[in-house]
Amino acid sequence: MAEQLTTVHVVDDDDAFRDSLEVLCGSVDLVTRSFADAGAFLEDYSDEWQGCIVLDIRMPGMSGLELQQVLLERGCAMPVVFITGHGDIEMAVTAMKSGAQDFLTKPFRQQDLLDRIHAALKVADRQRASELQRHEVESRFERLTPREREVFDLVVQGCANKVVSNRLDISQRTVELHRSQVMQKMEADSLADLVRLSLRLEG
Amino acid sequence: MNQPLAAEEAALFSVLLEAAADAIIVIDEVGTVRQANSACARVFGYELPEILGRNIKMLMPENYRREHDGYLRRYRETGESKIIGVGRQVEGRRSDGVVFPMDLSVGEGSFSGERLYVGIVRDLTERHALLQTLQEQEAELRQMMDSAVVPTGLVDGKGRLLVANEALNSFLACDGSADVELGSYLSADTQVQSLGAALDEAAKAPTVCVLALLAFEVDGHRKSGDLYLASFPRHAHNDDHGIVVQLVDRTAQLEAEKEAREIREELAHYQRISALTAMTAGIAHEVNQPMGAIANYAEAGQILVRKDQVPAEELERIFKQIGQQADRAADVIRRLRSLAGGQSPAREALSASEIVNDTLHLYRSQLELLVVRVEKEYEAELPLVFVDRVQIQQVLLNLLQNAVDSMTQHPEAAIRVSARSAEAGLVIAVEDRGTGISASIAERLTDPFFTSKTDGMGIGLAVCRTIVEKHGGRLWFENNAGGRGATFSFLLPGAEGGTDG
Repeated sequence: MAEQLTTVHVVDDDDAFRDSLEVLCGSVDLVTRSFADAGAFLEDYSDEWQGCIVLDIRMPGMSGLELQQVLLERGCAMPVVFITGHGDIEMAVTAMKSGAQDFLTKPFRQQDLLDRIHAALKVADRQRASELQRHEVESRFERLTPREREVFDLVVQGCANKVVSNRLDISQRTVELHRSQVMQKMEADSLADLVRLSLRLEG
Repeated sequence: MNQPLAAEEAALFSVLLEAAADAIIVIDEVGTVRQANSACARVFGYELPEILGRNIKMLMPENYRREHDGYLRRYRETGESKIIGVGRQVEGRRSDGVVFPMDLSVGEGSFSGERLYVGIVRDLTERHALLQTLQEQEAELRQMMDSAVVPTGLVDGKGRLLVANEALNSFLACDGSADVELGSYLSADTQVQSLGAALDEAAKAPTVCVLALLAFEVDGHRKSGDLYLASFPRHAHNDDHGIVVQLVDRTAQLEAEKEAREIREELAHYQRISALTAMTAGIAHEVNQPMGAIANYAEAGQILVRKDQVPAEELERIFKQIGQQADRAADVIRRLRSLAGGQSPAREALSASEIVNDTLHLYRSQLELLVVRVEKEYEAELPLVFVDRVQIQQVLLNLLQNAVDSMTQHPEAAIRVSARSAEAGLVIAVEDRGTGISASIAERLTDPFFTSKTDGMGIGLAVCRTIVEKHGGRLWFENNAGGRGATFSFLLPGAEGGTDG
């Protein structure tokens, strides 16, 4: 769903500020989903969600920082843009150390916020793209037989067929067969291509 | 003149002579005593025979003696007298040589061609002694009056000053010589009529009237004092009353009080500012929220307007939101300005919820920042109070700040703000779960410059107490049962007629 990819999740306890963020995002055709507090966000949260999170660093109840921690534990990869007030610099530092995408100190220029939201969404896009590629490569890898995986591992390490044949104690001819199966199943055009795919598997 | 009649007259004369309390003495033209009564002998300390036939000069002190013959001769020759028919105060000399004051009146007549003078002498020794005693007593009284520090004087029924001691003269800056009316010193804003009425009242009965805090205008300076009036009859025989006035000079006291009040107000103002400084982060947040929302709406509005297909309702809603948020920001500024400004106190009828909500609103973001939970608890039917909004907010703000400070290490920091009605008015209480108040500091807690905090000035609670007491209320504190923090409460007297339903 293309819509979900660009969803901006807004968590802010101030009704007016939250509404104004929705309107601002809406004006540049960004889809928003907003929540008045961390609890409401977590209640609805699904790991299917894509996009970014704009988070007020201080809120009654669970603070923005605490929500960030909970999301990290749940493996949520959405980039977080924190909005901080005057005197929250320490908290902002903590947030950045915990992997926040960015933070903005109030008052801020609206274009800055939009720029950062777009940047966060781009990051999310890239993350999603690489995630998809990884999934793809993984599913190709799944198709390899155990023997083919052994050949794959050695080949991408740069071993010549002869070395592979010696290590696995199989004929060079068999190695060549396995190797061609691997190239085919992994949809690799060249050895360099195969090495690149192997890196994605590790990533 | 026939003989028997003369004899009777002589007898009557003799009786009259002896009956007189004053000394009576008859001399001839050269001063020889022809006749004298017993009173004369007594006054001059002689036996009567010692005087008769002697020259009158024996009864005079030296300086009169020398002149007397001259006086008699001159009268004989010229008929000019300095004493006959006039009477004078002169001196006599007693047999023991003591000179004494006496009143002498002299008459004259001719008897059988001979000129005789009659002198009537009244001994003034006692009267003089009495007068002297009176004078001494008066001088003593005068001395007492003048050395009294209380301005004291005597006025008549119209307030005209009859007598004033030095303190009163000095208060009125007059030297006591000119005619002075007490009423003319009263400044225009003082009821001069009240002085007149009090004088009338005092003149009617010997009561003490008190006129509290009259303002006087003396040489362009404003002075203040309480006037005590007490009347007394000046003469035994008529209704003439004098009125004693005593003035308790309160000028210095009032000036000191004014100065103290100004210092207290400055202190309260300084304390408010420092409370505000402590709340800077919270206040910035309070203003940033609506300003941020406005900026967001405005930016969105511009972006939308550049597109063609924007629904008018959407733009209208955005503008409306901008307006509302601007109001919200203005409201915060207004609250702040009244709290930060040092304007003179104005009282208004407020409900407990107005006081508590307004203050919590200002303090809200601070509490959120510190993760302090706040509970509110109002009784139904609370009385309205007539108070200075800013000052009472300041009290509550202080108590909230103290409550927060007492719980810095508390994992579940919570404050309960409650309002209940009491017989005397409205009680607002702030309950914390902090460390409580140890007995050693409880006694000094509301003293100025006493603090248990490392970064405190020690003026918060002192200012709170001053403010509450100025409103006719009371501030107190107690530890909660089970060692769970402390509760600070203050009572405000209820406004006349009116409850917060």
